[in-house]
Amino acid sequence: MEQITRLLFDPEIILGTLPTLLAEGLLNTLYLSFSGFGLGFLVGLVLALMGISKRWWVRLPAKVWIDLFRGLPAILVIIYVYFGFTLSGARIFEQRSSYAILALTLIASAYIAEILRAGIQSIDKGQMEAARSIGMGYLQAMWLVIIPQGIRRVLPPLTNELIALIKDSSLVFVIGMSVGDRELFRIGQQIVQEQGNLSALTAAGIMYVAITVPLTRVINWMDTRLREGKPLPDDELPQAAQRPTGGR
Amino acid sequence: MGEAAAASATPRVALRGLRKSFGTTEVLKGVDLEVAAGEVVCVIGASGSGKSTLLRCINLLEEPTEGRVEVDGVDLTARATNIDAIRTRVGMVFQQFNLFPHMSALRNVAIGLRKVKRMSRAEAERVARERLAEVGLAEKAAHRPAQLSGGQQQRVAIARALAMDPDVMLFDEVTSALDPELVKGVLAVMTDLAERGMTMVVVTHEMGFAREVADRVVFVDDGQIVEDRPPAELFGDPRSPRLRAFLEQVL
Ligand SMILES: Nc1ncnc2c1ncn2[C@@H]1O[C@H](COP(=O)(O)OP(=O)(O)OP(=O)(O)O)[C@@H](O)[C@H]1O
Ligand SMILES: [Mg+2]
Repeated sequence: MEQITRLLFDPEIILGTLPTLLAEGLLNTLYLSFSGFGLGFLVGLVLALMGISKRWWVRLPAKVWIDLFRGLPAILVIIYVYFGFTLSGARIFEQRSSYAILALTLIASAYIAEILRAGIQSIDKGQMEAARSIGMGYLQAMWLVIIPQGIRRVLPPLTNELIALIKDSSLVFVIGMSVGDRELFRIGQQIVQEQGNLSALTAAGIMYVAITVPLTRVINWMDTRLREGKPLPDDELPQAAQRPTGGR
Repeated sequence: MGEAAAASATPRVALRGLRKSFGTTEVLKGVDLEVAAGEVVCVIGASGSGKSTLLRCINLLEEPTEGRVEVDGVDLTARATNIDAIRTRVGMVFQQFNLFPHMSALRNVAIGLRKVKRMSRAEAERVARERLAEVGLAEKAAHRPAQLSGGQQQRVAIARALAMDPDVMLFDEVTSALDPELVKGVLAVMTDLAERGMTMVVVTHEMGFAREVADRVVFVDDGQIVEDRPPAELFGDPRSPRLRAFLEQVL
């Protein structure tokens, strides 16, 4: 028992690892996941709009993209993106972290697209009709009227996706970031290999929980607020496409 | 003023041989209607007879299956027609208001001016405040739709449509979703608008309004216009048995 405790929770190792985790790992984890989320949001928005098009040849590529990047394990996408580009000689980026962000963007875009599509489709069609009837074009009405309302309704699943992506960012360890660019998991993993003790990963785990738990609280807070705050007649939160907070 | 105007120039709105099907069900079965500038036409008829569909064809919210829709002589169904531009000249008010819930009353009214008519923010808000004042809601400019009563929301919706300075206004049962005590205020705004010479097509169950304000009343039954006459005649001496039966039910 004591051995297990030492193996997982050696306070000396945990405390010793924290400075590096805070100074290097935390920043890089946040950098990777927030960049991936932000870019994934933009791509996801385009995919969502494509997904509700009347034209099948606009819908089809979006559907294939979404099925692909939701269907593949995240680690596979990361490996394909990084090794696919670098081994084939198509070094499109200088930095390894850029490949990591590209992979995370692809993954996030697929999930976010489905969340946003559900949000957009949950808006009463009278909104689009009212916007069009004062002379707005389709995309203009989407941008000014539908999307702002749609996003508001899916803030909880969007935050959920951010949490999932933060955890998925740990998988970029396969790219082998060098010192300075390592995110939380890789730092922990390297120390574990040096010391033959898992406590460094426990320290990394504590960091993940420290980021994600507040975000979960934010979701719950938004959830209640969206429910209590003067709901519209048909103001139901769409349940589509979100992943459980527990992970994939 | 109705007849005089109708006799002269191009009608403001003209429906010619209009047909509309949803799938295999034909909802409009050949509708011809002309509305002259300044005229107020009320459309009455049983539920499901096609009144809303007819109205929504006028600004192409529904695309006709056959026939033409003309606004000031411009065929809206023609491929070359810029429908967004025409829609700024055809205002529409809905039964469910359809205000933008994430915007204040002022922004609801100003947004079309800013984003469609490309006015500056200050100019758009000045016009929007004027329109809100006209419907008696100057003090509610900063309120969100959810903070307004149904009647107030509907008046904001009317102001929003009027802000675009349309040539025609379409109303689709705009008082049907309102509590009885709120109906009067909205009808007063519409009566005022009619008196100031706005061209209006009004789908309504308010027979009192049709009788007093309309120049012509159109009775729609089963996707066709069955009678199209001045209100005194149509209500005083209904010709078709269908209209007689309908009036017996609603009056
Ligand atoms: N988008 C649609 N798809 C299929 N059928 C439709 C659609 N819109 C209307 N209809 C059908 O067309 C018919 C006429 O509908 P419409 O809404 O024009 O009637 P209405 O006269 O306005 O009735 P109400 O007084 O109840 O508003 C109805 O039978 C309706 O079910
Ligand atoms: Mg109707």
